[in-house]
Amino acid sequence: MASDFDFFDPEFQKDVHPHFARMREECPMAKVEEPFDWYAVTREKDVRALLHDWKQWTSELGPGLARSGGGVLVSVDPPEHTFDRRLVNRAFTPASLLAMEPQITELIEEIIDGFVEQGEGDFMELLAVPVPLIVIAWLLGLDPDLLQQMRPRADSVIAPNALEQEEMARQMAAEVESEGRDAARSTASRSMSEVQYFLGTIAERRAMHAANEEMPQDTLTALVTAELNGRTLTDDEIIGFMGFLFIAGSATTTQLIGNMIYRLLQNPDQMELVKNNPDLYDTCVEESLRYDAPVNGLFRTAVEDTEFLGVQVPKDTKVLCMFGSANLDPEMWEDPEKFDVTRDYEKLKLHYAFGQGIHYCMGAPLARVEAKVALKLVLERMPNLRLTGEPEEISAPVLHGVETLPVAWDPPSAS
Amino acid sequence: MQKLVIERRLCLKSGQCSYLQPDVFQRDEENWPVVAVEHPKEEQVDLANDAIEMCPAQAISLVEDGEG
Repeated sequence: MASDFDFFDPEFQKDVHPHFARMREECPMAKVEEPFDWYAVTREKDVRALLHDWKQWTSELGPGLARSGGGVLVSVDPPEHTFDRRLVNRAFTPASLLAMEPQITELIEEIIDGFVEQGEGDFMELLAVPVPLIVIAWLLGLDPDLLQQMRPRADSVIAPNALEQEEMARQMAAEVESEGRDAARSTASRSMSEVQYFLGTIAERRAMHAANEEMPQDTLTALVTAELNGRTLTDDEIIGFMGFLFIAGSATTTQLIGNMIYRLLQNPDQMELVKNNPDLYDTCVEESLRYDAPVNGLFRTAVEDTEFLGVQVPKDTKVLCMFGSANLDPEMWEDPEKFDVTRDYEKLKLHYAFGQGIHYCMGAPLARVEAKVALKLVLERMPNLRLTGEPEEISAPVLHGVETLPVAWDPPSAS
Repeated sequence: MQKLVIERRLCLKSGQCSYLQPDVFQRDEENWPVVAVEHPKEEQVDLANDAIEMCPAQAISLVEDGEG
């Protein structure tokens, strides 16, 4: 049965909650026929089942609707995934990410120093965009300014607008049909300037390694020096990782920071609670992730003809695991439509904003630290924060959040 | 003797442990991890340590077990 659910409809983006609720109730396995047949799964228990069954529901054709993998982590299953994950994990352990808190605090303090006297502006542009970009630049050994210039292109890879995505999906579908999976995979788009810049940086790092110089303790060093079972990574593989980490690590955390502040501005009672109880910072970040998952959902692909929720699903069909909807399923959550920063933390952290199972977001500890520090410093340094206009919703169908967030606050000189 | 412990309070159900080291960790029907080998033998300690290092929640640990 085809549903009238339209992932590409701007109306869907504007207010996802009621759409999710209706889908969970009326059509938990919703069929979409544009640009080709795919399904959206919205109930928590079904999302969980799909995410944990990576043998049946592969990531090899990519996490998006377009059938193309980037070739790293999100787009591979074991055994390649195991190799990739171990590799990145060395420079990306939860402990090492958490250890960045003081550095991140300093960064956000500095950024706020730069604009706080303005008293007003677009919160996204001022804070939510630059923080994650600069942090990921640190990890990759890249120049934050250059990376910032590349931002639009990175966004367009994870989140092209609906029409671009449809067109891309159509092309990919045609390629898969005519040339098979490998061909489609190798066409994964990446801009030339980005590739050249990354290549230059890798070459410099390789030279340092060859000369036995002391190297920065970052993810790039881990990638360049990595050896597992006697194998090292090629430039192409390293670029794949860098591109992936750049995309996965920037736009998503930007949305998290923006969503959280926007939701607090809409719920002044919750804002007051958090302001007066620093113990609630962590819970506030988790509740924001639950209530407004920055990534609506990601896709898995059936490895063979199969059946799910009584629906026959042909091999290679994409199924969207709707994280944002699982996060609001009344079967799992009490009073799910209430934004409540006092929820039980232990239960709350099991939301699906970072996925679940083997592809669980590696950067989750980093995103959590960035959001928590941003929250703390915004509350401390931007008093009387208020909305001054209507935020603009982000147009990318995969992401959930705002593009702009016009705010004002009381600058230090005013007091 | 060392005992392998998963702290449910910290666990994020990422499934990394049972996926990386299925001989040492399993999952229950709700996908919570379960320690399959409570007291890992010498050759299993490395496997356990691998999962401990990879756990995104840092919820696994090897502790000294007084009983052993």
